[in-house]
Amino acid sequence: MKRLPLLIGGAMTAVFAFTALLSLFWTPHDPAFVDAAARFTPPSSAHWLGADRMGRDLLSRLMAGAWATLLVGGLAVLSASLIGVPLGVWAGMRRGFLSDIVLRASDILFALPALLLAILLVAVQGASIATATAAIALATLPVFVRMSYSATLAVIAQDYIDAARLGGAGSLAIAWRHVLPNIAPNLGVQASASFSTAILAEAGLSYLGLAAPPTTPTWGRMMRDGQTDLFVNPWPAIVPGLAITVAVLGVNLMGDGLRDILDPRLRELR
Amino acid sequence: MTAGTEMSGPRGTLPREVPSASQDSVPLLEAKGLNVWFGRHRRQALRDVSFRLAPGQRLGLIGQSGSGKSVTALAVMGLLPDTARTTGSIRFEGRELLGAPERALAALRGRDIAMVFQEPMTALDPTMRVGRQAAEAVRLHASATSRATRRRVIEAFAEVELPDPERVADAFPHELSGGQRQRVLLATALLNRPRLILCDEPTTALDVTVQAHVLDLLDRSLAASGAACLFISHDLAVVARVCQDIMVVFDGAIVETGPVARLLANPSHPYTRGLIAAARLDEAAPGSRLPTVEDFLRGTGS
Amino acid sequence: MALVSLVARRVGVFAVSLLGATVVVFFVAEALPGDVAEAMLGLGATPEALEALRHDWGLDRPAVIRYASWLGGLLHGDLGASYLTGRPAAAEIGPPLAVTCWLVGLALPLAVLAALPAGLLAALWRRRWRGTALSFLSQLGMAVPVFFTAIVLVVVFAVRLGWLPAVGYADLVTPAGLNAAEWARHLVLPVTALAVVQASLLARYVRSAFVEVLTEDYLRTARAVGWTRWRALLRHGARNAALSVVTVVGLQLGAMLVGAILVEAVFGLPGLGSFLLQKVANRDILVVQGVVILLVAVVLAVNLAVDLVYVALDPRLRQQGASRQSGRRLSADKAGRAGSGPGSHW
Repeated sequence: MKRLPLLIGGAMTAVFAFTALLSLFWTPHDPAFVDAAARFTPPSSAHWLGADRMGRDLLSRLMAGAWATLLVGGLAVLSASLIGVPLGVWAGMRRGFLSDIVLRASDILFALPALLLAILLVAVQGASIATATAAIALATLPVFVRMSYSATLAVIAQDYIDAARLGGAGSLAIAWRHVLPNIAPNLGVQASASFSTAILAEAGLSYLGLAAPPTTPTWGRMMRDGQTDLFVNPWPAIVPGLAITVAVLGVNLMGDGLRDILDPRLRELR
Repeated sequence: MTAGTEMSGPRGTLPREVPSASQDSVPLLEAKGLNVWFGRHRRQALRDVSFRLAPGQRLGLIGQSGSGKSVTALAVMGLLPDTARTTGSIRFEGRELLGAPERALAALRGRDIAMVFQEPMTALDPTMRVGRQAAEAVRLHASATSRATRRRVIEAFAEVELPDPERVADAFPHELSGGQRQRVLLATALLNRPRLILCDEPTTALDVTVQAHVLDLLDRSLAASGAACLFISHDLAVVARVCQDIMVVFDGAIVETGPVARLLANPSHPYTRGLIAAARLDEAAPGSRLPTVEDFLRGTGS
Repeated sequence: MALVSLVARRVGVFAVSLLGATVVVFFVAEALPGDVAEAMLGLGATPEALEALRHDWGLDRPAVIRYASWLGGLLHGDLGASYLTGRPAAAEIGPPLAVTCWLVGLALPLAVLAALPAGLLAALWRRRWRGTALSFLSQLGMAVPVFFTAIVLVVVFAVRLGWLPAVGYADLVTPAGLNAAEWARHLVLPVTALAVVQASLLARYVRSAFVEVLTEDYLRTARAVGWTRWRALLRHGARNAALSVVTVVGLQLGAMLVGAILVEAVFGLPGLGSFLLQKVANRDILVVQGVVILLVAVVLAVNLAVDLVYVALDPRLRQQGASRQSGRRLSADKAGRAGSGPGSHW
């Protein structure tokens, strides 16, 4: 019962990830194949979810979009944590002028939402998957810095850290052997929260045309395309919207479930 | 909460040696066949608890943590959490409290029955000056000008020997020490001259030196106001200092009750014997293992 | 005295942050390979043509010099001028700014009004199915992208029912006079779409703030002196829950601005978002940077205001003049501040 959200969320996330990976090897149709005869067909045995205004298979595009989402979101969160966590741990272990500057800088970056960063980057670089990923990673970075900073502070205040120091362990060894394992649960929870944010961010950016080029099937782009025909057939705009919702909901539930299990105090409050 | 309808089990099995004076007159507080269950799994916290308290009487409730002492007090106050299910009867001056509407209970709380809690550090609203919090106790139950109320609060603070009561009244909780906060709570409880004060381990969270002082204060305040007191503690010495009678709770049930002197001299339940032995460490033979309550429960204690 | 220095410190942090933000906004574009000239002229551009364009736009000057002159302009209220037309952004920004202000200014109170009772009830009912249902609703509301909510609203109220317009905007004040009815008709759906997401997010914070408060000893004390359950909760619970809720409401402003950009795109509202995107399409980098810095300044200013309100509400902070010691709730808020909440900017 307690683990229900984790199980449901985990299952939803697994389905999402599996679909994304599957799309690399197999989709029912070529996501880009234009079949004029299939234009706006409702769901059928040939097109399980129907086809869009150009007769492209919605399910195939949805699957390809899942991959784009997973790629951008995953890369962004991964790079943000790979840079942010060491910075945060370092700042927490060696508090001083330099680490203050790092923290202040990350606070400043935190005032810049991913969308504004993306707008800045796109204005100079042009829209691409890379700029979108970079923008989302930059916006996610401060979250990881802050989180690992405060988690590190809590860990190094413990007595066993002093014991390790007295035992002759260097800072790097302490960070690797004591700090990282102890903040790993927080990291997991934060990563899933950031990942769901990244999915929404990617969807928003591609909806605005600030991410992948128009030919790449992404969920946001599909909604943008589908929106033109809302009065004729809203279906092609609604299907990707539902996909985003389900993916985000799944990741959120998983993250919440994870946190409930890792943080007994929060569980009690529930 | 069903009042007095679901009483079960044998009643009146308690040794009725309770109070001296008022065995026959109407008790101030009378609990009969009180049962409390918690949560989805219906864990039973109180089993068929019955006791009576005469006006002015001081009854100590002693037992291990988790034995149901606080639950008893909270049940009397009607402050058990929503997950609790209660059966039996609690009468205050003849009025049934179980199942009484929240409004009626709220009118009683703080006026006729007051409570002092265990944790002075968290029992006060951190965002409000303590004088204002104490004043709420007055203004909730009587119409008074704010100036008159403040005067009463400051008098009450002075009575519990808070130094510079004016300044204390204008302080926020975090600016006071634990002992000061507990005195604020005690003063607040006494403000409306209640006829019954429930003290839930009021000194446990305090330093030993402060503890003695607060107990003295409580003793004198009770004597001055003539209020009855249900005093909860796990510490035999503390209870013996304030109360005339003791009731021993074990695993949610009352196992023994009687005047302090008799109980100390002639405990009948193994748990009580264990408590007494554990409290008299000075009598343990040097080098021997110290007695624990568990020894006595297993029947291995001397 | 502690209070004065505390306020001064917060204002100082605000100023430093804003300055830092200008650095970030300016150099984010510099740090990556490529520049506007390349982006404008495309891959086939000759080096000479690139050079000429860079010279025309002053891009051949060192970045630090360009930053200094940009910053100097900002200080004089100059948000940058279009590379193409040379028109200052400050002159064009008024009308779009008004649209976005209406959108956010109406959606925020609406979201708060919905979130307070929803979160409170979800906290009180947290062990019953009704509470679980409310929590799930807010989970769902957070998972739905704001532009999807907007599209669903359009499908239902514009396409199916035909009650409200699907796109467009009508000015409140026209040369012909006040145009309130048309203006409101065009804003109902955008405001609702923006408010739904924010309300879901806020309700979650309100819920956890009240769940925490409900377990506090002082609430029991309040009832022990004679407050009824509800009045104790409103008098002592709300004060304390407000501490964390105020913070979140303030921090949500950044998220709302982003949400507004997306909502404007769905409904074709001529707001700041549409303005920005159009400038992006035109590669008017200076204008884009100017507007972004303006938005960041607003976010930072609101954060400052939240900090000060917080100081006013929490005596522990007022006294100590620093946020170090005041325990659990504050650290919880720091966690909230770190954006650990899902969907924090969307």
